[in-house]
Amino acid sequence: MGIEEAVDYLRKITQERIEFEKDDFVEFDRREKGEIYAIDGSSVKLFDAYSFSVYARRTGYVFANERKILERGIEEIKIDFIFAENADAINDERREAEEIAIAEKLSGSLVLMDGCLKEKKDGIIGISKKSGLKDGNIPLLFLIKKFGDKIMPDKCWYYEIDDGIYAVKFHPYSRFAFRVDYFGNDVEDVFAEIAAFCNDVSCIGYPYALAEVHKLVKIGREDAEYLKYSLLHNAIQKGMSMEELEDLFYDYHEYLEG
Amino acid sequence: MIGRIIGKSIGEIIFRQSYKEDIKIGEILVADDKEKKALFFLRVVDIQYGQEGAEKWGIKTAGDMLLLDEKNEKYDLREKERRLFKICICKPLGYVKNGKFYRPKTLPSHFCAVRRAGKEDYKFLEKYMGDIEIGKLRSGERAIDVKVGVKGDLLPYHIGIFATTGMGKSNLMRVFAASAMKMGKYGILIIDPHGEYYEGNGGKGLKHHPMAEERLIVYSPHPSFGINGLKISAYEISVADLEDIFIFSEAQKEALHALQSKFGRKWLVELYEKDVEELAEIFDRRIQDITFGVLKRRAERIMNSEIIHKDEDVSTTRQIINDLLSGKVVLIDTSGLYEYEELLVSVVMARKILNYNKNLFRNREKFSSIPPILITIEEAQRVLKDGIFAQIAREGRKFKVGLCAITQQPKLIKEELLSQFNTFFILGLADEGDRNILKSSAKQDISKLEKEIQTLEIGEGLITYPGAPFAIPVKIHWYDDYIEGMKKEEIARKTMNEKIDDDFY
Repeated sequence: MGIEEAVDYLRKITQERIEFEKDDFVEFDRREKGEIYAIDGSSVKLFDAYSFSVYARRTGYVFANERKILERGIEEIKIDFIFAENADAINDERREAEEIAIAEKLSGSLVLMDGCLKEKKDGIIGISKKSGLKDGNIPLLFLIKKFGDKIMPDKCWYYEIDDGIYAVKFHPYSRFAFRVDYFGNDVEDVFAEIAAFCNDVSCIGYPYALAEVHKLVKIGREDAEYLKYSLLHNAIQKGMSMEELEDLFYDYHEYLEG
Repeated sequence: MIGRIIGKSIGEIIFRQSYKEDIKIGEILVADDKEKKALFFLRVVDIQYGQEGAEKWGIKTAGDMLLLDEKNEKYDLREKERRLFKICICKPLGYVKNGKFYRPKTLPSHFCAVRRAGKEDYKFLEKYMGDIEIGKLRSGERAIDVKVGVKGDLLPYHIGIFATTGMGKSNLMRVFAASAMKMGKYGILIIDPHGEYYEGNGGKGLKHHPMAEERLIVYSPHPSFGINGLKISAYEISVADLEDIFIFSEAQKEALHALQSKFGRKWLVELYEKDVEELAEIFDRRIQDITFGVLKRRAERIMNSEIIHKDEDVSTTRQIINDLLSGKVVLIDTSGLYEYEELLVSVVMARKILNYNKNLFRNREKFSSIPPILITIEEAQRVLKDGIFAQIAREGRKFKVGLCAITQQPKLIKEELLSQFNTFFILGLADEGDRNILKSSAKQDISKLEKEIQTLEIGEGLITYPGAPFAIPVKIHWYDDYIEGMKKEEIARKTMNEKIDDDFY
């Protein structure tokens, strides 16, 4: 497809009209106060030896009220060897499991996790910035947000997509609606409480505690470079040769790209 | 601690400032390097915004704020103490290790903590400070309890005071004179065309100085109790003096020199007394009547001045020189005079002082015992071109005669002459051209202090002189407070002496 054709295709997507049941959109009021835990994880692939890969992962949580972060619990970076062809998927699973493990230790307040939930977990709420849910070829959240804003402008609302899966707009002027996975009761109360965390102007409509924990656990490029260096340096100190290590993690792409 | 160093090079250090700190241009901070066991002195030359995350985050956030403001919607910006910050750009001034100051040749350690400097940190500066106190060390807008003064030995190496009107030139001069009076070992000649130094113009003047009686001598065309009469004999005025204050054609200059050659020191009196016809005859009509006509009118203006006397013996110039040589501050009040009269007083005095010291120079023993003399000139750009002041600027140091040029337009002074001035007092200067000329002539690198000079408040300044570790920021004493402090010191000293006497007896 050429550029012209691609533009036409995009226009078609954005002009798509799907009628939802108006009554399925439920308005809710925001609470002013609350306390939540927010959990997130981050990982990066350090080396790829094709038969196995080396990952670095970090998970953590913050405990916050509507005004500020009250507690930070960020774990040390872990190094993990994964011997499988679908190592990336396994790494993601392990990271999610580590996040769930943290969540299960926390109690007394709502627990928010970044991403959708693979299984029902009491008291845990998954909030996804992106969702693969589609209607035909069109992203479903996009369509719901468009419709919701038309019928409930400048309001907070939610729409149940499926059992325990919602599209939620947590702030009247948020540019986005998020997929929220929650399998418990008192949906409206829970969303109202989460909304108390969504008026940070730098991420309007998204719980600031999740944004904060994301920054804290993120393994950046510099961190990754340092980890690679430390790993190689220690390996050499313990008797491995540079040639051995290069042969092990040799990347033909890097060679081709100079 | 107010920040941590994050870069960048020997010529420029940048650090991230804590959110809650308020740092100002011109502040002097220290990077306290525990690893190197050294204190690095940094001068803040610029401050920029910083944020964690991409630049577009700030743009988007500001956009959302505007939208929410419009909707009267409440919002918050959490964790801003961590997410938002300022970047301070600093000029490294040097570092102190084992009590010794070094020029900036090395960098502080990575992430070195930056803090405000305390009085103890500036201990190394003491040896660079002179005895003519003018204020306290300044860091940004804050005065630090460290005295700043210039060395009296530097007076013959000339001083420039540069400031836009209203930035505190007169106060600085009063403080300078007050300190010199306190020391009593430097001859300072102040020609006061605005009559602001003696009385004080609303505040306190030099006459209120506790030592004024012994160390201040005042001359004025209108003498009164405690004020001497100002008198200059026509015999003391040379052709060169007139050339410094009037513009003459080549023919007029030739005629003037011919007159001086013919009549010697009496040339001005002869020009004044003889009529044009008579003068033309004396010079065998080699000089045109019209030329003498012009010169005579000038001579009449001078001779009609109340301070000029035909009698060779009626003069106070020699007394003024004696006062200066005995370490007094001499104030000549020219406020009631025309500008040409004021300039005439300046050039006659300057030439007489230089010539006196030149003659004394041959007598090494006597010369070594005389104090340095400083001649101040207001609106110095008027006279610092050629002539006696340019001559003093070039050769005065050899004869212990210095100039203190006060001007708000240094760009009008020849760069070559300006480079002869070793000490600069730079106060607030609004004009870029003026700042640029000082940048190239100052004895310290002030190229990065553009913003600081622009933002100097009244009474704040920078001092540069050879040997100073860096351009010294100063908060100049407020004259009234300064002499009040001196009076208290004097009372305390006397009381102490009385107590000692009581105990003794």
